Amino acid sequence: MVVANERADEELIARYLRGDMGAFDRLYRRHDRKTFAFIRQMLHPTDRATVEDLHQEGWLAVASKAASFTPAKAKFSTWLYTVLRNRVLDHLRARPPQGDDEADPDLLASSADGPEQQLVSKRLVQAVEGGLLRLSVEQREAFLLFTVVELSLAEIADVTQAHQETAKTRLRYAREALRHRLSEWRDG
Amino acid sequence: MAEFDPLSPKDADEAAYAQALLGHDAGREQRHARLMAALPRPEVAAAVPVSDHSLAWRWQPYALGLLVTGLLVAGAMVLKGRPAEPQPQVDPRLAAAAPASTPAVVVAQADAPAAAAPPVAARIIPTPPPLALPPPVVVAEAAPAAAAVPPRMDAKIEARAERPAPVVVAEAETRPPAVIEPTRPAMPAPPPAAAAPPPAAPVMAAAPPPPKVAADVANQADAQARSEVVAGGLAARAKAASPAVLSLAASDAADAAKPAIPANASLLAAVGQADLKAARSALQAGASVQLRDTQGRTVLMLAARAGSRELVELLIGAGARKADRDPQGWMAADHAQAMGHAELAELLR
Repeated sequence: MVVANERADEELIARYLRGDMGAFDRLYRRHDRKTFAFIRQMLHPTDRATVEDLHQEGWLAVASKAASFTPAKAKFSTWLYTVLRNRVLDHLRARPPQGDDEADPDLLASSADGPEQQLVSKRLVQAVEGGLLRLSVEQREAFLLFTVVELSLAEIADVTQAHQETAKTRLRYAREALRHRLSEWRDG
Repeated sequence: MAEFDPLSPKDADEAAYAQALLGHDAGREQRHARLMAALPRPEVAAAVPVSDHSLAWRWQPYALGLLVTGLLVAGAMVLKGRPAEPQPQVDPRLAAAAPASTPAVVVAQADAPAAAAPPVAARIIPTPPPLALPPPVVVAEAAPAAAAVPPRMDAKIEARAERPAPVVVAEAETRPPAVIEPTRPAMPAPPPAAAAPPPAAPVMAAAPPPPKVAADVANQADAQARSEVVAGGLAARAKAASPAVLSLAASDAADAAKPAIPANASLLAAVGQADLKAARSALQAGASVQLRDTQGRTVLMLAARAGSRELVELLIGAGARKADRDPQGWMAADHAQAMGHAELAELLR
């Protein structure tokens, strides 16, 4: 949510295109937590360095493609996650994850030195991450864009270039699967 | 059982999961600094704020290389690519009649009126008949006008008034009188020393000609001879100048490569290692404080990135400019800020 006295994303990107580097700095700081979390959860359990590199490459791609952003066609956040998602998919195509379905959430959590380690809900995060790995890439991205990035269904459909009903189906399956997994995790 | 609504609000677990992911900032500042250091400046705005010095740094090597290449090519064209010098048109009959070892006096006759030209005799000494030999040496002499010929023509022109020679009359093409106008004497020259035979005889032995005919013929010959001499003189001057052009280009290139390279390299290395003592020594040895690395960053920017306040102060004291920008438009303060040296960034603003 953009506070009233803050400049809109679209204005900041326009100012950056006019040479205002500070505008891009503010834009980055506004979104970087969610973008990093999105990339990290999409790539999990890849190593932290890969996530860092892909996050930086994604934002550099945003900067280099800024001139092609058209506010009349899409919101900045939609366009931003479209660019980042394309980078993630390119990476996954080039280096498909090995044995995701067999991954042990505890091992994954211990190999990742992420922010979740300092939170009380550490084990909850581990459980969700383990459940995400059992989802398809399409279901995983739908869940993350809805739960973490907090995009609407229409925006998720735009980012994933899918029909809204398709996006809705993916989201339903992902949330149901994760709820089922979390209930098992609580019971077990 | 009711169907699950995928758009229902996040439950407690999902909310806790999202909060856990977004609530921690480990590595966030490093990511930010790394991105901002690599962030390109938009092309639209890049050309406006970049300082002249930065532009000069960007294009200077190319401009210097282009200049040197142009000079070398021009020199090579002057040396090798110039057209052959025009050779005097000598009637083959003259060449056949003139003994190879004996110079002959050739008086050319022009078709166009040459009344304005002063009576001057031109003597052409043809070379032996073989065509492969160099062109004949043109000799203009025996008239006061010859004294007005510039000294630069001395290599091609010899005054040979003392040697008698057979006189040959031939027809020649007209040369514009305007070409030789500047060197023509104000007063008419005295009658030519060489006598010309009647024009009806193309080749004949020397005989005392009528003074008026000899004067007309001599004027026309003078026009041709002078134009040929002028052309030959210019070619000779170009040939003489080309080594000078080449030497100038070579000296420019040598001067460009000469200045204090070891000191500059030492300064770059010292700044990279934040070595204050070595940087001071390099500056004393003549290193440029406006020096830039291969990425176009000034030594002040490198010092700012290294976070060395003493080094920054040393460079500023030596004349380093805070306002210089790198090719991405960043100033030294931006580099300091990106590397987390906030106090240094304030100093550099």
